Amino acid sequence: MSVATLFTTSFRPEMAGLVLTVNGETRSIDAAPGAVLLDILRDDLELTGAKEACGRGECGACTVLVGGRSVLSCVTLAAVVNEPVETVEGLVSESLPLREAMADLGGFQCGYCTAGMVVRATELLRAGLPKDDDALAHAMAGNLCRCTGYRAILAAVRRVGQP
Amino acid sequence: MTFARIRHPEWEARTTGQMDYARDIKLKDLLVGKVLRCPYPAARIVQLDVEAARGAPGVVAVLVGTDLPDRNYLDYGQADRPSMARERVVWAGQEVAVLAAETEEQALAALALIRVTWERMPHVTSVAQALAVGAPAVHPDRAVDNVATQASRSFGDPASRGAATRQIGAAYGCGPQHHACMEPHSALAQWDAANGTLNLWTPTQSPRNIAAEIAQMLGLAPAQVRLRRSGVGGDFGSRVKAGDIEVLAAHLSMKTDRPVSIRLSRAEDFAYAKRQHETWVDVTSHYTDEGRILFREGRVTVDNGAFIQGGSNQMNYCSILLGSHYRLAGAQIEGRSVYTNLRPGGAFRGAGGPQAIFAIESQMDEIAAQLGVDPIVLRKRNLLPSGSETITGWKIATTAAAECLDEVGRRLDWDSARATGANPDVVRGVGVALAMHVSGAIVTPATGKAGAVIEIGQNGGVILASGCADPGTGEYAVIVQLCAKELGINPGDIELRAMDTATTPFDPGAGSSRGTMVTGGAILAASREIAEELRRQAAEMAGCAAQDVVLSGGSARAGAKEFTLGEVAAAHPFASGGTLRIERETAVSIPPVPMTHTDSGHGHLSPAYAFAAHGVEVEVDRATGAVRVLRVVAVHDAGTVINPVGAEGQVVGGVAMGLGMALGEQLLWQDGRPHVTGFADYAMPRADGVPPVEVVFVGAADPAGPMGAKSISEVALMPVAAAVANAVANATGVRLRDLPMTPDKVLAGLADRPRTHPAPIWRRPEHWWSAAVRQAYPSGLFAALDRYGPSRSTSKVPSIASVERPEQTETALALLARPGAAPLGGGTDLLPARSQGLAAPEHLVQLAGCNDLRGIEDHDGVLTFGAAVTLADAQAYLSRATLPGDRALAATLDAIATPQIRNMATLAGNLCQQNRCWFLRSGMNCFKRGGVGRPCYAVTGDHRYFHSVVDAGRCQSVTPSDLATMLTALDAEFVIRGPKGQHVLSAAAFHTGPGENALRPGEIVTALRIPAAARSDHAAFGKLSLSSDGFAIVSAAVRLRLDADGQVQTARIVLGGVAPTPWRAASSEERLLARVPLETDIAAAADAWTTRAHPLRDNEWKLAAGAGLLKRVLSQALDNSRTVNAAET
Ligand code: FES
Ligand code: FES
Repeated sequence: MSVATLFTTSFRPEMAGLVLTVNGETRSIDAAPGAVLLDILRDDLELTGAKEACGRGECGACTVLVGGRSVLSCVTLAAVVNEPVETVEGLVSESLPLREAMADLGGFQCGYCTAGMVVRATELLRAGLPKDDDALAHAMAGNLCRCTGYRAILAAVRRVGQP
Repeated sequence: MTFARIRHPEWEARTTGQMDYARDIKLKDLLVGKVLRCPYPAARIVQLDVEAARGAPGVVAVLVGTDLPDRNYLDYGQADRPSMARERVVWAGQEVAVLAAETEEQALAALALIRVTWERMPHVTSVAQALAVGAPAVHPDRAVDNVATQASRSFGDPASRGAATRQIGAAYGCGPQHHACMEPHSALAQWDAANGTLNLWTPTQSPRNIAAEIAQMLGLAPAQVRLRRSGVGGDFGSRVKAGDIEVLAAHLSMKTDRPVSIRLSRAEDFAYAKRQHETWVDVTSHYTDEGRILFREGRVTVDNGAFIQGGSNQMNYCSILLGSHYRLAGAQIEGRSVYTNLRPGGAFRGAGGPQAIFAIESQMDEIAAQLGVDPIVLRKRNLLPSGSETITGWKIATTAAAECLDEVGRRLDWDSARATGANPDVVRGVGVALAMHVSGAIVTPATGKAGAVIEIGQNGGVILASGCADPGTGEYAVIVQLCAKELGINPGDIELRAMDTATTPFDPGAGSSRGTMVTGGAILAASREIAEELRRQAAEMAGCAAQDVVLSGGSARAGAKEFTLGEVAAAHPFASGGTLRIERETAVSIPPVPMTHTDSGHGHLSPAYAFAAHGVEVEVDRATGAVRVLRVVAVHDAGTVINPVGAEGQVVGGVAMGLGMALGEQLLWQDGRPHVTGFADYAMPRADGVPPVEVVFVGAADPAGPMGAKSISEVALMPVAAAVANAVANATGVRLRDLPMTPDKVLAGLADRPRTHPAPIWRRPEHWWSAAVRQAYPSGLFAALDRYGPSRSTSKVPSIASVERPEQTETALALLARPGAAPLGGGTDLLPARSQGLAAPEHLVQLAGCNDLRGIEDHDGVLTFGAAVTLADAQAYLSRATLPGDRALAATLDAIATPQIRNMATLAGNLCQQNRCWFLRSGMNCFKRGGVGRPCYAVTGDHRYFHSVVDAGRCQSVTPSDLATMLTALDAEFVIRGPKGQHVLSAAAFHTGPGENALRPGEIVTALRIPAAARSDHAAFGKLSLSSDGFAIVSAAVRLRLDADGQVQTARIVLGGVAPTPWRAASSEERLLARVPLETDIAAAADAWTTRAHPLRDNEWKLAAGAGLLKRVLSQALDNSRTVNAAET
């Protein structure tokens, strides 16, 4: 059953079947209609790479790609997701150059924001980075980091995104 | 000297999401713990009834204060903090009951069943109130005058003041910052009854402190509590001592015999976890005409909150540093730490050091100005030389402070940079500040010692065990690198055991920058010892002298002979089972200075002292008061730099935190109740708020540090705020002494600040009613409404029963006709609003699936957006726009929230978002939430930034949508469909109140139309906010149509953030109509609207800022038109 068919009945029992494509795999989950994507990923699918650091769309730690776009999984209802989901776990090889650059330049410290940073940067790298450094910083401004002061993260993204 | 750059040993786990933090760990049969907290700053528990909660579904245990042993946390020795309140409650958030249930929903439901009868008590919610004569005592049994601890310290020669010819004195304030670790605090406890041990996973940089404290609180032996290894999502001092949930989780686990986890939400972390202690430093410098500072007087006042925790330490270190920085002849420093009924603080990066440095370094520039001496020159006249001793007894073996200052001067091009500032509106300036700091304050014997274990197996595998933890400080990289260097192996070949108190040797934990010094020292000693043993053994095997053996590349070479380390280790006489093991505990070679317990504070506090000079260049917008930091040069004397990647990261991270401290971060309370509960309320720097930072290391190896290293992490925070304040003063002449330097303070300081003149209230009968209510607030009305006002709000939000995703608008409208149904856009506001009790729909109808709501069309010049188009899609569509109206709209979209939000949020959703008032969003039962019987907390609370200055009624909040402001200026129309069919509403008529709109039940916006004419008019948008993603303090959207002669034919000037709805500044428009706008007309128009204003007590500055912003946006609109026209011709 696809998520799109969920709306055909007007009343729903407590738990509903939910089908998500996550990191290339199709997964069926029993979930409450109001279940939030982040909780599904972390609790049901045991993908704990995406973190909850605010739970209200303000920090970017829970960033995942839905249909290739970075979204905040803490304020995304799983029931409305009808495109493939990619989490940091699914991007491990694609992000290797970026992650190496982060390790070499100091692009992470405690690591709590890092998954969100990697996912957001992946979206930007796929599209081609903005040329201007200020624009790159602005494009990464949805992800809070308390440790690094960002400069090394931006440098790492720039290093791998340089043609 | 620096070491090679290595990757952090956990780099892969930390970058792939594989690192398990405490809240990622799943144990079988895990229970969820929740805490009931007191809502009042001071109260007595008259009755506490938990019976209903005990019987609630899923509840396994409920505990109240009297169920727990009557013990207090030792913290730093003052032992004034119980694990839960028993009878008296002394801060709004103190723990009153805790329960464990099978699921989070059950735990929350049960919490709501606990009945408490409170007797509210008099309270003090600021240091000033606490110290007032006759103030109620927070702890009558401990401190009737609320002074928790105090010190009076006399250093050096008291008579030296007499030789000074000049003096200058002022008070400097550092507001309460929040650690804001990205991992909110959490604790997972598992009682292992069979072994009588408690397993605990909780983020901390000081595992043994936590384990020992928890054991003490539970009445267990220290070895019975095992703190386990996990990721640590930041610390910055907040978790060096136990928080409040570790012990509670442990009690619940022991009681239920099941694992229990308590996880604070971000809102709880902001409201109830530790914080920086607000600190005031009064300093008077006595100096000579030549600029020698001879004597310093100081008084440090620290707000502890309701318990001391780190407050006394903050006061102590701050007061000692005041006597230590620069070559003084004498100092007299008084200090107090004061109880208030606020949430208690905790250690914070630098522990009083940043506050002392902010005061001293600001004052150094004030002295330089008085004497007409260059600030760098003045500092260099007063430096402590290497080999000197401060009047406080600190032995400064090495210092490169002079080089730090010179390097800043050189890199900032100091002399010419200080002279700039031609543009009258946006001025630039540079500033410098110098900090010094301990490298590990040795205050007890335990803080100076650490252990290390190294094992080498016969297969050559090396295991390094250390009791330290790495919350992002890079400690693991440092110790692995130290060990690898001695053994001649690759850092990557070492298996690191860390943090777990059962499998690692003693370590005092990080704190006061002792990580590298103390822990690193132990690792180095053990590594050297085992290397020595290996060489001795290899020499014996090769038949040569030990000094001829070289360890490198994983083997021991002696001349032509070569043995693997495993072979050598296995052959060593101490080896057992083929493994050579060395365990060493080392202590730094200086005696402890128990600064918290002696009044003198005199003594050599640390093995070495680090120095750092930071220089910054700022740009100050004199029109709005906004300060932007353009670049930072951070020069550190850190001795040997062991891990350059980590060291640079610590500096840049410290700078970013310092910029937050300087410019925006502050926790706030409304009569003791916290209302900063999210990042939206707390202006922490984002990626586009931290400028390039040049990090430079200078100086020589220090004889005391491991390999000559000194500290970095805390000293990196210390000079930042003063450097920024000095640069602001250099740019504007305004000396700001009260952090953070938000735009209101900058504007207030400008001598020639723009004056605004709201017309007197007697001339404006339409405001009489609200003026009367406001007047009555302080004299009892507010208190009465707050305490007794009836509320219609219910805390119950039903769970979501269905989510529909129709593909046709028709279907959506039918679904929305059901009771309890609401449209869902991107969900970015609706879901948080639900959790804040501000929206309670049961049936959600997502509109993004309706293809007819997702189109963008440019037809006959009219630009039409489907209502469910995301902000990002609209932005992308407009990215190549040429019409000025379109470009202004694109600029508006770019200024909204963050990229991820723009990817999700829809245009109509943005228009329909609720207001962002921090009182409302933090859960206060205000007028907006609870109805006419409730007060508006903004009238008496902190309304400097986000509340109305024009036309507010009972609720002072504003409509937050920048998009609405711009669309109103563009004369946009909204197509609305509902049960009664379709109609069109102008943007100007859409909003009816703060976050309120004209949609009737069942209606939705389906499209937004921008008329052709408006798109080609001159237009621009501008916004003043506290951070790049922040909501508008004030925003301005402008559209002007000029005729062939350049006369203004049509004008739309709409301001956001100033009124309950996007507000058309008609009087400003009139000033432009039928004129060819000259500079003076623009200025007059920008000011004109302010006479209509009716500001609150502290937000009149928004008129000046709004006028300044509007002037800029008007000029920009006209300029843009000129450039566009020029491009066309
Ligand atoms: S956890 Fe989702 S944005 Fe912060
Ligand atoms: S690395 Fe710690 S929050 Fe970014």
